[in-house]
Amino acid sequence: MEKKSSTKGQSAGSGFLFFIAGFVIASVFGWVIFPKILYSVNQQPIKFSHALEDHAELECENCHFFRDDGTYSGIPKLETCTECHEEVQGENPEEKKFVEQYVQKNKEVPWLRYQWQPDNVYFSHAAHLKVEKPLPCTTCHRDVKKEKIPPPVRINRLTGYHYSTMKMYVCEDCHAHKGANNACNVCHK
Amino acid sequence: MKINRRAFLQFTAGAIGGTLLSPLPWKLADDTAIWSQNWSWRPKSQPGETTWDYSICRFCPGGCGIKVRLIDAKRAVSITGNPNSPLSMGGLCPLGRSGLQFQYSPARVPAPLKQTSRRGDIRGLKPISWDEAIGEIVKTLKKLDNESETNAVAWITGDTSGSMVQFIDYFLLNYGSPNHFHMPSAVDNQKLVNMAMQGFNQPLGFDIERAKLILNFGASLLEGWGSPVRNQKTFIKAVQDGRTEYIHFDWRESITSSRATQWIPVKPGTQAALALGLCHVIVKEGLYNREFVEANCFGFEDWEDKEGNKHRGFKANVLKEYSPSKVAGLTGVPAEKIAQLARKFSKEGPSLAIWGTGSQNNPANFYEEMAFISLNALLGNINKPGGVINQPPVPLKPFEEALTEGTHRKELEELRIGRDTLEEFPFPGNAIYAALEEIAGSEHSQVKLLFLYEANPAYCLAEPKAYSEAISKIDTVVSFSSFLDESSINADLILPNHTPLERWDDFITPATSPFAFYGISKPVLNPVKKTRHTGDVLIRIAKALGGEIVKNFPWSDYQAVLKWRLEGIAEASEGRALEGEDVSRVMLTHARLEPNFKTADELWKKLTSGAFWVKLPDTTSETKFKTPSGKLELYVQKLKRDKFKKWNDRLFVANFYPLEPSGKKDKFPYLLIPYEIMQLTSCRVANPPFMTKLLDDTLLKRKELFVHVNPATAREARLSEGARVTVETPVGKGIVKVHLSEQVAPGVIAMARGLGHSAFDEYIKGKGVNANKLTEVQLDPVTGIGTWWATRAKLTKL
Amino acid sequence: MSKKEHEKSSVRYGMVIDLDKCTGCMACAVACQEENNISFLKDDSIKTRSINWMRIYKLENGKKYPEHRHVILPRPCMHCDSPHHSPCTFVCPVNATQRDEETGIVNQVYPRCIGCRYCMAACPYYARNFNWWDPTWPKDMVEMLNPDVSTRMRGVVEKCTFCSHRLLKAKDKARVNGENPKGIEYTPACVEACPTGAIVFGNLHDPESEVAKLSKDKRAFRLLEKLKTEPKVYYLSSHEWVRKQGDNDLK
Repeated sequence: MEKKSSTKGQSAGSGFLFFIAGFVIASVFGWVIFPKILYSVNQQPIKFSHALEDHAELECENCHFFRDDGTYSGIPKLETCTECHEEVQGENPEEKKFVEQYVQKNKEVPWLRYQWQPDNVYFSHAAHLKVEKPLPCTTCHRDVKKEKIPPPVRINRLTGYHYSTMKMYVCEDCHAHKGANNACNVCHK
Repeated sequence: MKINRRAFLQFTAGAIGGTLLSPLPWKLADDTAIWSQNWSWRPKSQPGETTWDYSICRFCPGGCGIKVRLIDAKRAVSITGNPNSPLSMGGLCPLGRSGLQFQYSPARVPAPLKQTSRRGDIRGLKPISWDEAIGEIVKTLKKLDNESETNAVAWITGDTSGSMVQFIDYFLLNYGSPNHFHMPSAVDNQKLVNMAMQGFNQPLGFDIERAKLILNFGASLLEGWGSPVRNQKTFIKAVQDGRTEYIHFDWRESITSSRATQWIPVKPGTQAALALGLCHVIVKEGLYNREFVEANCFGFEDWEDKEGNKHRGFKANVLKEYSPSKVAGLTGVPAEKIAQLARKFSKEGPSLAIWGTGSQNNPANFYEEMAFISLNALLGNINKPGGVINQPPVPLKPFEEALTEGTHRKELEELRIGRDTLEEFPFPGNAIYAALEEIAGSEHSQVKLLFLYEANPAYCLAEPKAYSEAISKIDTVVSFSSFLDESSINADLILPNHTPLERWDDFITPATSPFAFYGISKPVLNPVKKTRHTGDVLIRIAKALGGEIVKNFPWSDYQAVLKWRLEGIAEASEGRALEGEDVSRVMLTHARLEPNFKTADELWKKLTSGAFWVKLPDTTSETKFKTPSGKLELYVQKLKRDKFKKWNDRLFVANFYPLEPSGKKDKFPYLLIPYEIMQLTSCRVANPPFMTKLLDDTLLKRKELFVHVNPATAREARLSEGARVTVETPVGKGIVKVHLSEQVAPGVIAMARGLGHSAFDEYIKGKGVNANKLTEVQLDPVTGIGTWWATRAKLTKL
Repeated sequence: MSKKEHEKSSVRYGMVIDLDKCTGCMACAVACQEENNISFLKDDSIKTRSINWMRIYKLENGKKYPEHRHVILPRPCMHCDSPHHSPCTFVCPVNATQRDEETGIVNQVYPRCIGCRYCMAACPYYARNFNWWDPTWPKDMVEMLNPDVSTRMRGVVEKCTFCSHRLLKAKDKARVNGENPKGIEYTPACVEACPTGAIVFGNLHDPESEVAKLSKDKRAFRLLEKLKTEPKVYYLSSHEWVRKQGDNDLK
């Protein structure tokens, strides 16, 4: 009996240890290592800053504008940037790099996107901005005016989505609360 | 501590617990779901800025204006109609809409290719550089020149709608070869008949917009005749408004028949007899336009020539030979109906008779077209609103103006291949068949170097073996095709042209248009393959040849050629660049079109941004016919009398002289007649996947083509629906299936044209039978032009 | 809920196809394929396997030559307006197809579809297509895919959407130009393509619209009306034999 119980006690103690060990290792793997494996970390080709004085003075729509046909231009094309940066304007090494590597070679910058949506999604910027009460950009985007350098772009290796890509439930939720149409074809194409 | 089974299990339990409480499984499950919803290997189209650019469709001779949707000005994603076009008025046919499938076709020629093995071996075609390719041609041309054999060079052109055909002519003239041929077209014969009867060497226009009654002798208005979109629009608008009545005579219940106000079935190939039957009634009952006929027609009455010989005129001939009862026997249309139609036709006005077949690539028989022009002439329907129109010329600068030296064109004509054969005909025309025959029949071919421009004779010619037999005697065949078509695969050198969306080209008044038309088709995309504009290549070759020819080619590239030619219009200061005006309305209101340009540059700018130059015909003043009599000749004096073996007056007026298909009736009891539909192109390109998808499964199933046969005929031949048969004609045979169709006249085997390709891509290759291979070509006894309409055939069950 | 909204909405997009004006050129069907990135097969002659949103039927009067007549009938999705549900949306177990009650457009979300094909069985018009294979294009032709429509994948159902992506774009254009996007007029690709103007599209609930007027024309009929599916696609024909066939199964 005694032997038995002592075996039991010993096994309970060390068993608990094994259990904890397994739990901790799995937790560390699941919480810390797995995300590192899942997401690739990429840097923007140019460390563009929205917070720089000259940029911060601009309205968002100066560079991220609507075209006449109602479509949204999204990330600016080289054309928009060259309006100011035809030649190097200041001391910033990133600007110099930008002018030398892209402007002078007339090559589009391969910017990485934080809010990339798959091709079956139709997100209408007009529906959220060209309305009576426009949503602030920061409802969905980072407050970029505070960022000195762009954060690394963390892309999910499995899905191709960015770490912060908005999922459908967020859209649906807001639509439901605001009484907006939640039919599939409002956002899917 | 010992790791035993229990410890292991406990560790595992902990790990499972830890994993379940971490995001790993949930995130992984979610991401897997997302991954599965996006299928990463599925092609995705990158969004971008949409822009539109203008050009002209070049996939048929119709000349429709197009608008191309571009993404980031880099790639094209759709083609729609340009509403400014006076021909297509914003519409576009399925072929034009499929244009991008040619632009991005897997059958495109990626770079200049040279055959390194035997002809026809597609793997033997190896890429070479442009310099090598051009160098090789220059070398051969120089060699032939040194040997004084410049007429050993021949050229076949398929796209005759723009200046390129004249530019090639000009190149050959400078080099010293008269041997420029073009692919058969309905225009070939029409131009000749028009020349003979009215003295104008050009195709006819038809003012279908303003006619009140249209008698249609077989023209497939809704299946490719003329400018298909213009026909569609006009036809439907007119029928809907009750403005125009369309009466259609055909052997097949085509969509044109079905849509017409009235469809009257006629025996295949007898439409000309019917027209003459109408003439008979119109003349007999005195319903014709006396004023016009007396003042403007020659040979209506009997006449006497300078030598005092009496000749029988049109009137006597038609009264004697084409009584309604006789015509009823020929055509199957009841005699009373013929009389009734004739009265209706001459009473209501303006009435117009139109004619023709499929997509304009089959020249008609000489007398047939004479009959239809005569019928229109009886009503004075020439150059009148709602009538047959002589297209005003487009005053482009002629290439001859660029010549710095005098030429020897006349002498060159003497060297033309096929000339000996054609000399035997009273009024010779397009000599392609005569030339091919002569080459194939000679032991040592006169032609040593053959060029193909936008032409695919190995597939498109009726009786294509005429071509393959000829090239077996030719040392070098060079194709400028953008596609690996049947003819390119069998060429020795391919110098790929830009596609229509990548190149500068122009479009000059298409057949059947009643107004003069000129448009620029400009490149809307950058070339995606290693191709070059054939016009640019010719300029380079000319410069490389050296000598006097260099001076005659002052242009830097083909775009400069077009600009130079346009100066002619600016100098003439005629017509107007239409920018959105409705030309049919302009025509209906008889408004005048004042020029809206002063310089060639100004006009160029307009024409390259979606406008079209138009000049309306003069329908108010008297026409000055350029014939020996100065009148419209119902009795044609231009035919060379001595070329007829035995001549009589009947040979000079309109008559029903059908070309009898060869073969014995008892051996070949049926008539095989090819037909065309809008979803199956029979032009130089193969059907695109968009259109092949739309083909009915009673036309093509798996790899087999269905011929359409009337159920009564099938019963006679003991064939049931879907029966596999061999269809055999005196010139070829093929295996097809039978579909029973009440749309087809008894005794006819209706076979769609446009299948049976042995080249292009895997979406069309090897499907069905090429109707051209079964079609018999006959040389018209007057013009020597190769023509076809029906071939005797038999069906044998397999 | 759907019933209430159904009655409430002032917008019901619908289509009228005038068979008297149709010349059977099938430019509509080509435009549809181009606009909607519809894939094609090496052999598209087996019609149960071939994907086509705008299918073309031939109606015949059943008579012998030369009394025989035929008309061409283009058939998009009918976007059935029957109460609560269209036949297909009723059976979808995963809500991958659903009717937008604001516009009446029956939509299809490809990533959501599980490929059970209940909807195909439920649709009396054969308007739905199944992707038996992964859609593929020759390498160069990927360039011409329309960015406004996503490509599908193997194992999902697809069908005509009344070009609802064009509605989205039209709405955005209106918003940017300060106009009211609700019930805005837009043109599906097939309508734009028809050279003779045989296809008319618009808001059936707007009594002033051309579609609303034409749908009440005495030549108007719908396909299989007896099933009470309330199609929003109307046909016009002046031939009684054509109108009669509207209530039979198409062959």
